[in-house]
Amino acid sequence: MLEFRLALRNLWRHKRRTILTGVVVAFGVLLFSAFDSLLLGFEEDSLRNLVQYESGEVSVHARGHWEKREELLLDRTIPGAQQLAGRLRRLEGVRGVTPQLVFNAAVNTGAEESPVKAIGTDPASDETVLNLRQAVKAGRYLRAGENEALLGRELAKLMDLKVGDTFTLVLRTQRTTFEALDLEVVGLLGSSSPAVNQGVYLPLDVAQEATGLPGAATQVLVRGEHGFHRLGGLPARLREETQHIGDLEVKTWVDWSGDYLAHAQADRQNMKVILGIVGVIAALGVVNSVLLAGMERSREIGTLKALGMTERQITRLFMLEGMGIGLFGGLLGVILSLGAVAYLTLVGIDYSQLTTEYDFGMAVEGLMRGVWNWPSIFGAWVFGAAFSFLVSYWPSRRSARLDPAVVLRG
Amino acid sequence: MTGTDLVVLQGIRKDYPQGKLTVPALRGIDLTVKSGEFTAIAGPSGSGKTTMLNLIGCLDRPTAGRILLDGQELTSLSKNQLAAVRRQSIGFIFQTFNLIPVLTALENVELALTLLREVPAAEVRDRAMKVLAEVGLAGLEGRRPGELSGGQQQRVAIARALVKEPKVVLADEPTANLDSENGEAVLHLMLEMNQTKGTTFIFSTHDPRVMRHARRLVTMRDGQIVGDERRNGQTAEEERYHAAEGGGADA
Repeated sequence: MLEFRLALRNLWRHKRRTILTGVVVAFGVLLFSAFDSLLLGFEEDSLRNLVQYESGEVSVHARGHWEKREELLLDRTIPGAQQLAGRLRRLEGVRGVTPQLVFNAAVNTGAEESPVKAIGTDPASDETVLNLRQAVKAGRYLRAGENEALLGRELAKLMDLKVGDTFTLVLRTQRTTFEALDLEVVGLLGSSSPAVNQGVYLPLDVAQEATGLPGAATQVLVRGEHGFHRLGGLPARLREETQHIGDLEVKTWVDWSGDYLAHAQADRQNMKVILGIVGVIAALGVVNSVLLAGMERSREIGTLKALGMTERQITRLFMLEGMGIGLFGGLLGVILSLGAVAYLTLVGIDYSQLTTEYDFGMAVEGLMRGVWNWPSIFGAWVFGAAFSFLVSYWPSRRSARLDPAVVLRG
Repeated sequence: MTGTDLVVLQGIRKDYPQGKLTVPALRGIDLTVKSGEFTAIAGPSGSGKTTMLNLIGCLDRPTAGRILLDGQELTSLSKNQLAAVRRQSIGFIFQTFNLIPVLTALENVELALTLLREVPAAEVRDRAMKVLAEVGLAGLEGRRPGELSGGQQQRVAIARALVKEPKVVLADEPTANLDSENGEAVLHLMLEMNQTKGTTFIFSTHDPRVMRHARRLVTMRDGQIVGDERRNGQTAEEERYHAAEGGGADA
């Protein structure tokens, strides 16, 4: 109690130094909270985009297709996909099911040609699983049976195509013969998912016919009732249901997200490096403050020793001052973090200019938004105080070991 | 008034290394101070007064010799044990007062009792208030050192030294930073506490006006005791002191 009171008053006595060092700690807490908020937001957006535009929450594949899905081949498909979808729709906890046929193709405008990922999607059911309709930025959505397509905005820009234009989709059928399909651009898609912005979407039945795979799909996407973070027993129910149908396998969005999670992990490592540097700067500030306090108050230390304070008590007194700086700086950091994170969650950071030129390999583009992570913000405060307390040990110990006979003579 | 042997110094030597040289500050001191004595250590700067007080006060260790406080051998104690002796048995009064600037007068006095951890919290305040009143500072308890005059600060320091009722109070040049009026008042206060409470005082000085109050005058020169006289009032020792004054650096 006595040491707390002394520490508090000494901090107050040297307000300017306390504030300046506290600001360094506050900066560390702010940086941590803002980065953490952005990274979590980025991760959450990435995963949401993945689930809402690509993977669904759970997906069913013909066995062997999953491992080679990036090759976009048509050698392993699910026959009778609509029947399977209908069966899965009846399962408990399933909110929506839609089949897709995803394959390699090339968009040819006559003047230019570009390889693309073509997605045959079912306009009647894809809304129950994916958010493609909300991504239509110009024109309209697809109609079943029509030779028409939706183009991602980046692809449209690259190929100089607009709504109403036509192009030829060059594809390989299941029998590996080439097929050319003339399609009209009926709409442009724009979303925060690069996959959508660079893809070409056509009605599932048109895609099935063109590829020579009537009624087939490369994947059947499923959406549960409780959100992708709460799948519960849904994957298990789907596995149980599909094991009697054919040679199928069930994957969840977690399986799909391997690359994204690896990116997130890498980003977290980068953040640790940045925070490590900030931590060292903050530690130097705290050490410097406590060291300076010990030097300035050497006579006071001698007096406290003369009064019978032990070196351990004096060490603790100065460490408490260090922790006080951490607590004050941390509180300031939390207050600043509230403002920064509020800005990041409400406004976000627009980096669309960057993503048009660079591919970050993440399923997010355009706007980076933060999320609130209260344990992290207040954890940074507690960590800041504990960190300051610990780094104060050396200068505090040094002060406590001053020879009273020498400093009192000083 | 005086009683048993309270402080005993036997063959005390203290050397300070200075580069490759060793400078002797005390060269074989033998001294016994009885409880209740009011003893002045006089001598010019560099004679070893402060060094001797530091050794008695467990702030420093001798190079050779034994120090006993109330029969307890001090020279073999650990740092923490010495801190406990200071906390329980010794009161300090410094030339520059050395009050804790962030604490009020009352809190400075309370500090000595709080560190003891033997006095109930409720009693700490009462005792500190009482001692402050005894040194004439009633009404100024809430002031910080910066809001007190030098004389008042030294009174707080005396109160701080006395509140735990130590076996001995060590005062290093307690009046050196005070004007003559305040210096005189502080000495009277110390003497009064010595006579009313029976507290043993050992103080260093080279001020003849201060020596006049001492009931025992120990004179030092060049790290040795050159005079030791129990007396009342001024003696020829002071004249000898004057003659000796003027040499050496402070030890």
